[in-house]
Amino acid sequence: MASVDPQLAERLTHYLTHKFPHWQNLSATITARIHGGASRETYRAKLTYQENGRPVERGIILRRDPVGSLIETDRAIEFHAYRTFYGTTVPVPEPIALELDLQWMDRPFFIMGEIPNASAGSPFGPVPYGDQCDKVGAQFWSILGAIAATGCDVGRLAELSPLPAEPWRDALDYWEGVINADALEPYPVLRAAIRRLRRNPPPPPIRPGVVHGDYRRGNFLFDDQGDIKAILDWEMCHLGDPYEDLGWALDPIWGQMQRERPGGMMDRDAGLALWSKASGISIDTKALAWWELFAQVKGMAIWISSGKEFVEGKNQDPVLAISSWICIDRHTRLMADRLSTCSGVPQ
Amino acid sequence: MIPSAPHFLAYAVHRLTNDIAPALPDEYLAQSTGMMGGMMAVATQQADCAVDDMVWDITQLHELLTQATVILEHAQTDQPDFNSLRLSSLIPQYHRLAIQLVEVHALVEEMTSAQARALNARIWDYLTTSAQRRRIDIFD
Repeated sequence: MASVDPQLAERLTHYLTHKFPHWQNLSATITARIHGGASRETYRAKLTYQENGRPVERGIILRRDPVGSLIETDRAIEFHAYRTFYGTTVPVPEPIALELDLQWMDRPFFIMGEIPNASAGSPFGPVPYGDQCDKVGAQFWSILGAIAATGCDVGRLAELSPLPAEPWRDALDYWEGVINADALEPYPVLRAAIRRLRRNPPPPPIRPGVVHGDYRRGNFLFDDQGDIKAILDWEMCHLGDPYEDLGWALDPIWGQMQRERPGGMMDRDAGLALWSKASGISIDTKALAWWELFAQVKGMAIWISSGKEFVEGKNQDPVLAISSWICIDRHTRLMADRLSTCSGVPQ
Repeated sequence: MIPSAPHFLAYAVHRLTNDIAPALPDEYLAQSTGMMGGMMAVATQQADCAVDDMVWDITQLHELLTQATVILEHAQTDQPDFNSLRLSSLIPQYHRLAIQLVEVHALVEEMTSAQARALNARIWDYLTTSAQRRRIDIFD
């Protein structure tokens, strides 16, 4: 098969030959650039080499930092998240290599194993699970519960992203800072949401733990049997309140604005019960309402940043423009509805 | 008959998403082209109502800010200027008024008088209605 990017394939071959000298006669072919999240340039590649005299052929995924990004993140955190969970009940691709030295590909990158015969499905198109919505949903919520149950003893990952004293304040300060830096126009509904969140902070986490940071439909791979094969896109992973992931995953934006079937999967209450069982953390509806509104503020920050990147020409991937356009509209409507009727978040 | 701009854009969207994108051998380029078709569809919808939305928003914001001057000593508002209906003229006006609304809204939320509560309710009525008017429903 011809490489879609021969120069990149040559550099990848050069790097892997250096990194893994026991992979002999190595050859890399870039088979596709993948459209999935603009926070990294993502490529699918095929490797052939000999190991201990035996021929090996395997697929890998190369994730390289772009020049401009949808989300400013540290690729080391994403790589160590894969390391933390690889081989556990939380399915993730095999982490292979993290490289911060710019000599190899101009920008930092990491490499992980390809998950064959599985797809992610679009977060915004028609629900991709067919009659397996409940089966996929049950795994989706149980795996998120397992991530929450991991706690804070996660080695290098905890060193890279230590638990803040007040996770809610840390998270809100960060994303409000992104909005202040990147907003090219005023957002009255968003500003009202931020004021509402600050006036009514949530209680401390029932049990702090690992927060994936972008756990939603479209960020996991599933096969045609409806089995989830891997949780992806850990670039915003950190320690904090597991309700943060819950609020994000419940957001109606991932399920064509349907609140009762988050992500177009199973019934909301049934999903929350599975999460609670797997995590060992009870559901505090008032605290969860805070994190659900926070998720919409965080989403707005991401869409505002992506729009700015596109407008300023730092990254002209159309996914940045379309996500900014569509998602700012949807999140503004969701926040306006929620705030104008209170919806569980105190005034 | 000269094809109208919306007519041409609808044609371009159809060709991009249905004919050109699927025919591209490169997966990334094909998806990018499909997204560009989607963006053109949104642009077509938005272009038709953009001036109408801006004039409505500016008018509403001006009314709200005028009401705010009754209960807030330092509140002020500019008169709407509709001498030009170009978006390049309307958008900066809208931004100025929306920034003023954010400041006024933050103050009104902290006040407990009946007048302040009524103004807060009117602000929310405007914000929800404005969000619905700007709704992009092409992908719903």
